[in-house]
Amino acid sequence: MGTAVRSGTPAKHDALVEIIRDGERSTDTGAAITIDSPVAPLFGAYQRAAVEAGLTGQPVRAIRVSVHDNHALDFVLRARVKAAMRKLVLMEGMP
Amino acid sequence: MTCRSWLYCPGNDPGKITQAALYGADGIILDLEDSVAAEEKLDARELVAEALRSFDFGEAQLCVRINSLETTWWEEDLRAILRSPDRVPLVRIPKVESPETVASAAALVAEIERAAGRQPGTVRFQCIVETPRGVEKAYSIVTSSSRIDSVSFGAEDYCAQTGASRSPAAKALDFARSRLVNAAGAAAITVYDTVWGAFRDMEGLRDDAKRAREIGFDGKSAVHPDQVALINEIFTPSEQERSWAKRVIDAFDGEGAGSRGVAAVEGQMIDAPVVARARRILASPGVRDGG
Repeated sequence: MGTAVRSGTPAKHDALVEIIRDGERSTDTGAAITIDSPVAPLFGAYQRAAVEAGLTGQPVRAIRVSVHDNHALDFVLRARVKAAMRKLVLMEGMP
Repeated sequence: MTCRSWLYCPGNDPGKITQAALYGADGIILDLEDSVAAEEKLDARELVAEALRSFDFGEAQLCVRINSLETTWWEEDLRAILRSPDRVPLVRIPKVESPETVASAAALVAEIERAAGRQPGTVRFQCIVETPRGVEKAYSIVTSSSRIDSVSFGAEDYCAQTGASRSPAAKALDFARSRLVNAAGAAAITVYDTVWGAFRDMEGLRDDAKRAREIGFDGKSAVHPDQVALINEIFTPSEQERSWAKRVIDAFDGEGAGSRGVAAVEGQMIDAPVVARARRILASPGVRDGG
């Protein structure tokens, strides 16, 4: 397992997103996403869509994305995912 | 659009961003600069960019304060916040001390506009003048680019460099404020006053805002939601002022006074500049919206 990068906080209206490049998974696979949220029963599909939107256009091979949500709106989820991916890319020395 | 109040909102705080439009400020400043720690700049940038893309801020005018052009962050700030094809915020540039600062920002923005296929000149600036050098060069700054929408005064850095007192009673900021108001007037742009940082001191805010209005500022920035209503009140023309303005315009527009270029209202000579001031009063956000 690589080093995890993070964006966000556990505070109300925010989401803590952790992303790690998982060397144990095949490089043919994309992102494995888990979402822990008090509103998942109602909004889980929308939350997943927001996370996937944040990953669009990113180098998502073999990554694990963990989202710890505290009532974040969709733009917050997208932003936190994008910021975490940006940190991963910078850490790996990609442009 | 002239704003009576601008509410600062930390760019890395989703809770504050989503609530910013609830307090009645005419404008909202999503901040990437002083309210965001260095280690959170990247997170804040993405959060503000995504908020601009899809969050509904109601009728408030949107502005983003980017990081100073003396940092390594400002270019990425501009690229991120101008990403949205639909919503282009006003760009608040801090610590402007020379026309060259504006030119540097304008050059990158022009490149971003070209790449996005946007009409050149779409992105507008609000410069913050907050140092003695900036105050000295105020007119050359505000006339340095057609992108400049407005200018704002920042007292905290100014006081730190000059040793001036921040107390409203001391009138220590009158020179800097007046110089900025004069420059803005000469350039025919809007001018906004600095924040009052002691957000529990409402009497201090009242005195500071009233002084700013007397000097000629069009509005003022707020650091806390509790300050918005008072700032709106101070910068909304009073019933007396509105009534005077209506009488002036009625007198000037009636009886062919316009062709003579002069009229009289209650013993006062009314000519074009007075009429312009009257029209400006009636166009103020608080008056226009029935507030």
